[in-house]
Amino acid sequence: MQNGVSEESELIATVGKTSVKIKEVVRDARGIEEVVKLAIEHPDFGWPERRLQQVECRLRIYPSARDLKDWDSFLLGRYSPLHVPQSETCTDCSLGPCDLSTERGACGSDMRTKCARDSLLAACRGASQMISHARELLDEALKRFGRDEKISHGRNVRYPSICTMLFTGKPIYTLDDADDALKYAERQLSELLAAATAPGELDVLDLECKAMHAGSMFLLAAEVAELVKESCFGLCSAADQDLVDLPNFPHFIERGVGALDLGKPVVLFLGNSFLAGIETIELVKERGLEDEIQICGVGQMGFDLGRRYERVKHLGGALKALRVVRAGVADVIVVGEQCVHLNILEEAKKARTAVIAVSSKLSMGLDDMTGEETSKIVEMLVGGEVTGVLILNPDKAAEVAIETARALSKRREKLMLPRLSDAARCNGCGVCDDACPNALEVSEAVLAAKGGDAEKLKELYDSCWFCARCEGVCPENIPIMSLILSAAKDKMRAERFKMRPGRGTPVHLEYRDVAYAFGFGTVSGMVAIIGCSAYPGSEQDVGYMVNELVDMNYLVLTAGCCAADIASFYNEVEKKHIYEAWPALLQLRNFLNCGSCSAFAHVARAFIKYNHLIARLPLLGNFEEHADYTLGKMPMGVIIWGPATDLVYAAALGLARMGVAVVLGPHGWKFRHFMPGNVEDRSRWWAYDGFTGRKVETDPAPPHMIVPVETKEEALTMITRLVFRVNDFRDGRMSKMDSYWSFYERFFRSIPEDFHLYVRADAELPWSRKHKMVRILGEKYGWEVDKRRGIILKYKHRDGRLLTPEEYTREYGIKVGQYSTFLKRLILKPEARGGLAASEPAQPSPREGDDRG
Amino acid sequence: MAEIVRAEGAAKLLRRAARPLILIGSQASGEALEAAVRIAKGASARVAATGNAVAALKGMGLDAKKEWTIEIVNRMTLPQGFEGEDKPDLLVFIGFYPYVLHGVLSTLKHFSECRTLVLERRYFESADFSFPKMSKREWVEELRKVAEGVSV
Repeated sequence: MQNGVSEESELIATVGKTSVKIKEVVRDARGIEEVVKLAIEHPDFGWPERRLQQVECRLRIYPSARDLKDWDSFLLGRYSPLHVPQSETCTDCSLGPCDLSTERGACGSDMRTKCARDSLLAACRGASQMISHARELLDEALKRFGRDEKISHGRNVRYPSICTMLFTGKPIYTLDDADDALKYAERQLSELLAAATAPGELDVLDLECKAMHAGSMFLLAAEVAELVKESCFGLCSAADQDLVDLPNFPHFIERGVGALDLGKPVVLFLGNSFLAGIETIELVKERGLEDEIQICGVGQMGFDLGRRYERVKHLGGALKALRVVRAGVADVIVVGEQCVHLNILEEAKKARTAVIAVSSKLSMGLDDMTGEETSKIVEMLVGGEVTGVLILNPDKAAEVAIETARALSKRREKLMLPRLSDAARCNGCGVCDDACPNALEVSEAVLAAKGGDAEKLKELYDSCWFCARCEGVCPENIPIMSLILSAAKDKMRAERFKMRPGRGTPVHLEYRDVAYAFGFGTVSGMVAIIGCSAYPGSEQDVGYMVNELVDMNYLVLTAGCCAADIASFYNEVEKKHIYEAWPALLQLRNFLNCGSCSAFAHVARAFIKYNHLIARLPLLGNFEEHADYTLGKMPMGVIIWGPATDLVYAAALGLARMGVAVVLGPHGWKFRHFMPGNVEDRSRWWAYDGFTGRKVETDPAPPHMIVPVETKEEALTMITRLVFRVNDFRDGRMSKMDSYWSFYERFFRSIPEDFHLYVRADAELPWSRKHKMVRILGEKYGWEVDKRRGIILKYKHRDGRLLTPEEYTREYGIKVGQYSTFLKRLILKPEARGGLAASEPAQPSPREGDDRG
Repeated sequence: MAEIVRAEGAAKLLRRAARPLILIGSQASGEALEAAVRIAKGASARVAATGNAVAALKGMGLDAKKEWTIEIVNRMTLPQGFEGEDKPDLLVFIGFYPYVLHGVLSTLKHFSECRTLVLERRYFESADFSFPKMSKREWVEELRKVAEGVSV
């Protein structure tokens, strides 16, 4: 590395015959000169010479939120944040408390500032969970293998660590590189948290930019966590599989309590107890206990451990873990931080289950027994001297878990639930109804059980997420949650589905196979369904959505707890549960699960990867250009189903910042913050013609970036609407229009009122609906059409003018196949425009453009 | 805190509103939905069907339009008009998940000028006017009385 101002100013990056000065492409090159040089010159991920000549090269390496403000400002300008205030009183600083409902607070904050700050704090909390998770794994890997240990990306991955290198400007090849990337995220997080501390940052836009930056840091950390898990701790990955094996990769594991042999010892892993889980698997194998000890996981542990050991049983989403704990199916529960019910110790005590906490971040007030003899700890747990212990050594935790489970299994009975006669105490006060966060009609079910009818309680089993608030408020102390489990005991025992625990990243050949179909629009879009899922009826809802989207020719992938819920959906056509019904490639008519919530990074990678493959966009330190391209061209969307945890909140912001539209399920109204577009305000919908720099009015695509919906039908319809892009090719626009119209008509028995905004040429109308659409355009919207022939003669511009096809193409929307951008610096330099250097390029008619497409 | 209203007060608010917009969500069904339709017809108000409600409402002969709750809330917070018309001066909610409505009302309360009337069986403090907590049976009865009241 060169030092000193004079040397720095001389440093040049050269690609072919084109050179650029390092100091001119980054804001501050000091200390990162070589990284910047490599980022430009890298043979695979750097800048092709032609691109260097075409646009202004500007890299954002180790960027702060400020460095990415150009993009964030554009995005937040188009999709202005809509806030959901959580309270009227601000107590964020010592100047308050201040009532913000009527006037500014003592520090100068108003309600909007407060909401933006809350948003930033939530995103920081979510990012910190993932960064901390990645740090724990990385530190353990560094201790075991050293800094120079190579990260294996697998032989089928040609683009490693995409989420990371967009920000750090270099790929991760060793643990040292991973450490460098994570340190960057940690620095950013502390900076963001400082800004979130009142009074701190006061500008709403800056706060929003910072919240999105926290989202990006979440995705970066998630990628580091996944790489370390796969490379150092043996989680299976598609990256090492032959393509012919991928439709059936990875192995199936079983999901559901019905998969357990309750006569054998059961060790259940909750939260982030990854290292202890891996060691337990190793020990079980080493001692030949595979047929005796049953290892199961809830939430992320079900996926991660399942990717390592095919005998692992997944017992459902993390937020519903209490039902498994209350049912007492586990002899030992190993608990790490994140997504854990804080009442777990008390619940375990009721079920006579032993608890081993393995994280200093969630020690639950337990005594640290790390230094004690294993036999002594086992004796204390088995004898009931203590309910739980804290063990901060994964090897010892594994040993204690196995021995305790073996001993306790002989002494305790599983699935011991109260009799329904406890319902007799119900006085019908309805306090439980008010307490239920899902507004379930609990008292009605308990009263029916009092009268001898347990059916309604049994029905609640599918809707309840088992938070136990109902029984906490019950004045008669009726164990309502246990009654629900008791009524549905047979149903619970019958739960046994096959699922794939997660395959990590999609691989190069899969991408290549659909890349051009994607680029030219014959694939409608790629939709990821992610999230915690815990929501009334979610087990069927998420599976239903997957099934519908696969049927509608979308590429569908999933990650996070909802991937476990999806497993129970039965495909009536194939007569199979969903993981068995669809093969697991990143292809049409397939469906794949990437893994736990850290595998959100694989989802993000899948979105970005296509930009590089199709447009050869440089990857290193080039986040903005990728986000610009995704928003303008790539039909990517995410449905997040379930509660608004901070972790998912950060993921949503990180994905939206990448240009990926996000639909939130009904609990999305708790998200505090949305990014709806204002379709009616024409001034917001524009793009630069990338060749001439002319600002062109466009269709409002996608109309929103982050929006909540109320039902699964709304989610499906909205996501097909949010994959519209201004740069759609003819076939892409046609298939998107078809799926949007199809869902809308089917679910709402009417036609989408805004469809005319997306009509750019009659050649883009779906063939099967073309005549109907043309007729409606004529009758309802005043377009000049030939109904008999099904063609549009004159297009009605949003300003009311009737235009010929040629005029319309020039004045509304981006011409098919033409390069466009939302960022001024990405407009082609005049010298790179070739024959298009004139102020206005020749405009082919829509049909000509379409035919070329 | 929302002012608690019963059927009579709610009907009066609806009658006095110049441009009421009734939002009917997916959670209204059976007798409650029938009453909601009668209210809408009686008040001659514009109806926005959110969630999946539009099909059922059309089936009951109501000229309802499919709308997205987020888009209505967003428009209400913006300075511009409402689809070329003046903004509604009263938003009436029937048939929503409580956790959806809490968010909707909180946003409207702080970032819009319009008044809100909640005709649910729970009390919503962020609204301007809300029914009190009541049983399902009482709720349906109360909705019927509102329908009678607006038709007067």
